[in-house]
Amino acid sequence: MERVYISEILSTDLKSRALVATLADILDKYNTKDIILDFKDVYFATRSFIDEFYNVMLRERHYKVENMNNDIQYLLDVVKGTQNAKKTVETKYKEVVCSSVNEFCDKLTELAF
Amino acid sequence: MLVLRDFINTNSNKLSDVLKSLVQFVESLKICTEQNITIDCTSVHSVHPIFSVALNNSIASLNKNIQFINENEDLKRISFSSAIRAEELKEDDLHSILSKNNSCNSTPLISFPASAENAVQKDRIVSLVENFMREQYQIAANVFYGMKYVNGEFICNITEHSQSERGFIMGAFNSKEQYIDLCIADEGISVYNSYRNAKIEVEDDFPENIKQMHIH
Repeated sequence: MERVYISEILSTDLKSRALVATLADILDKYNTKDIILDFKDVYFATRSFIDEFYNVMLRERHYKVENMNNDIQYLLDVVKGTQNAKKTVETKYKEVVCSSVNEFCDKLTELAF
Repeated sequence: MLVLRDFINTNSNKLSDVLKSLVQFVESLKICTEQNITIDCTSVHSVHPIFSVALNNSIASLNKNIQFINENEDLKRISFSSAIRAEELKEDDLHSILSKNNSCNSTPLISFPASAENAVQKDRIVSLVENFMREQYQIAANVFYGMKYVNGEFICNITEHSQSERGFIMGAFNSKEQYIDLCIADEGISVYNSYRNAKIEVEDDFPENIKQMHIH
């Protein structure tokens, strides 16, 4: 069983979705599929990263994960739970078309913030 | 010549007032018949991050020769007239530039590459800016991680949806009212067009005034 430390290969602060592809390329060079992805020292991950990580590393490749901190584990659970959520795809926009800069500025004045 | 001071409303912190000043200023630049325009920054000491970032982006698309004069030290420190292209600096150099802003409540205007191919570089730059802000504004851990989630979501959206080559980040701390203004922007197709391309409707429980604010 190979243990791969995410913080050493990628970063302790995981932001971009694209990092998962980088990780996949690195893991492809290992001679085994029996890999533990160790999150020791990783202190933060974005939802985009975790979303991609879940789909590629866990759902497709079935790697094991260890030492995720509570926040990242929680985010992973949230991501798992929203994978099949339906998105609204209706096309009913309500547009406000401003014919001049002054009219646009008047619209801005109406805003509360 | 345009005098910046004439357009900035220093009596209001409302976001819509900042946008109004910005739109009026950019419109003045746009309708100016001169190809060479000078912006006089006399007596302007601070500028809202949204104004700085959006002006920078607007100027790039105007195709005019625009020169800034009489920028005071505060404006120079925040790189008001030209965003810092962070990837052209070594990490230590970027850190020293940020550290020079210790006495100032704003970070400089930072520009970073936004494409997925540059993800590692982009992430390092954004982490550096975030950590600087945490230290500089003494942000509590729970607020800091909240801010990182927001930043992460916006910045990933730039890469994934905006079709923009560059992203921008700038923050300012209001010490009196104890809040941070954070501006993250891109030069891409806009949220509106991104929604339109994806045929996604704004949800029904969204406030009506936000739904209507589709800025082209």
